Amino acid sequence: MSSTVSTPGQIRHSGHPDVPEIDLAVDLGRLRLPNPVMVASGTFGYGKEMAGFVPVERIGGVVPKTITPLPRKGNRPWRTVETSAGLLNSIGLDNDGVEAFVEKQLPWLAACGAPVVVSIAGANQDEFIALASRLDGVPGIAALELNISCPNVSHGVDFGTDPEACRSVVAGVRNATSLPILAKLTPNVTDIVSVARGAADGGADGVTLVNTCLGIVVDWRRRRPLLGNGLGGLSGPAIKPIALRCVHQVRQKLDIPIVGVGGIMTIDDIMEFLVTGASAVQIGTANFADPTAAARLLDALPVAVAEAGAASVRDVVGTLRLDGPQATCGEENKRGDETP
Amino acid sequence: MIDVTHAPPASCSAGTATAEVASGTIVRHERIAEGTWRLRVLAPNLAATTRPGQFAMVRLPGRFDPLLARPLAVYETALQADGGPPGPGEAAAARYADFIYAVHGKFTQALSRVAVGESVEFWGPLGNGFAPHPAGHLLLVAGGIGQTALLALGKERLGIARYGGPGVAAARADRVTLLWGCRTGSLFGDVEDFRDAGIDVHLATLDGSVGRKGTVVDLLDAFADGSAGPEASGERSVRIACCGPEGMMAAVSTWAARHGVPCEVSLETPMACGVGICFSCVAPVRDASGGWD
Repeated sequence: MSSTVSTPGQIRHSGHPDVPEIDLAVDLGRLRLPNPVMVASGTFGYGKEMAGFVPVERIGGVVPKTITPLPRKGNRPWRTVETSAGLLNSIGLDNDGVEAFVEKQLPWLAACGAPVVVSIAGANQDEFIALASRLDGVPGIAALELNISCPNVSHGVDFGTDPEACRSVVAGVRNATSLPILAKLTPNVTDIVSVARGAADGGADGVTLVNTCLGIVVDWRRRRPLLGNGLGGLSGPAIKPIALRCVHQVRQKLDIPIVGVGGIMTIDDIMEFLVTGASAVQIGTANFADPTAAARLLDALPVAVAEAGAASVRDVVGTLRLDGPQATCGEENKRGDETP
Repeated sequence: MIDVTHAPPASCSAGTATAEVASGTIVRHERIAEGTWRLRVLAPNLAATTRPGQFAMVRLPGRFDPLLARPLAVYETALQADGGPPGPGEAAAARYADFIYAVHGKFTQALSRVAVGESVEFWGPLGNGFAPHPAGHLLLVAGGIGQTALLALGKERLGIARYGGPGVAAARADRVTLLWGCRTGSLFGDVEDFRDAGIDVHLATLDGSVGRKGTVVDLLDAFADGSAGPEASGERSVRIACCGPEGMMAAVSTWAARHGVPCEVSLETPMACGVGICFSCVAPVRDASGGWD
């Protein structure tokens, strides 16, 4: 059995001489993170690949690449193709399996100091439960993120599209581990709230919103899809409004903590997710475009929180105003949409 | 809207990333052939450490579209904005890195419009580069824009330039020959770089507009049959270093296997990061189960 982490919150001076220090710590159910800037599964390797670019120990939560019970070779190339302000991928959960992860990858991550949120995926509920049981009590793990939304493996989206299946797999994992649980959901559903409610009813500490949007890119001259797997998952700035919408809808209906992910490139993007209702965020595709992105954005956070008139990140979360006149597209929005 | 930039050598899995994301001023940017541009960037850390066949991820700052960096081989380094790389005995470190790219899609079109004095962002060196095998006669075999990965290799093997830190022990070759094939003659750019280095240059085009009509495999056949061939000259250790489109590299590899010539190829697959975190740049490998690596 492993105990819930209780990492002290990081206090960062905002950099402004006349504003107070900012408390960056956030809570996702039983999971406390020192700051809200996490990195998304599949976009940060196993951490050590990025150690030359980013002080990994400063990151609010590292979610390494999803692991499965057994090794998976992943999908045939091509596995990624760029789209307009986006990236379509079909990696196919290429990984060496849970045992190799525990033996070869986890020790480095655990030693680096950042909370480690292990992303797991099973082909069925029993596999999810077996993975959770295997990882329960393993030192160095802060929480589990259930990847019930990968679009690139067969049946990968089932748990994420059926509220009852989602509730059931989360409840099963909850019984198998004392670790906090995040359920990562797909945006490719008619009603994201009902699936998030399933995760909440199953005992999830939070929901990660959202995985990639299903898409396809074709070469009309060759009359072929460009990805080896045909379909893929779209990420990057192109999907940010969709991810924000999912955060917004869930926040309006449920109390469950939310981790927002989808197209975050700038500090303004982070603040939009926080204000809309995410308690933490994950940096994903931006890590590919700029391997230093997570550190750069974390550095910029205190000033932005201070600009919001808050002393802590927690005080910013979910402060979106829905009454009164609509916000004008004024000075506040100009900065982030034009430059990374 | 598809953009596949050519010529990232070897695997992207550096695993030992110590690189920063640097911003460098462009000091030269010129068209050197049809749809082909050469870029020189102030890049002290990259230029001082890159080895033949390595690459950097290059990105346009301040924009989301195109979003990602592209892998570009480091073609050459230079001590000065208008000079060349350090010689083998020179202690000074190169400060500039040259890239050559063909305009294929959105990224390369946008890059071609960036002016001298503006900046690009980059990180590297990345990839494995070519292994330091000594050779009696090194054949550089290039297809399309694949020469970009090969000039520094040839110059290093001939002992006229140094790449990487001062302590790097470079392998040597007694002779270096470039066999370069393109679709048509207007695509060859800066061929003199190779000739000036003392590299024998043989060109081929599919349309016969320049050099031999045919492919690099036809050049290889001529090499093997001719007076300069391995048998005729009695050379023991011919090696091939190859970069180009996959089909071309497959044909060269097949030729090399048939003739018993060791051959090293520079693979490319579209990639997002260049540092081994996106798991995109896999290539099929021959193992018991068949798979990707």
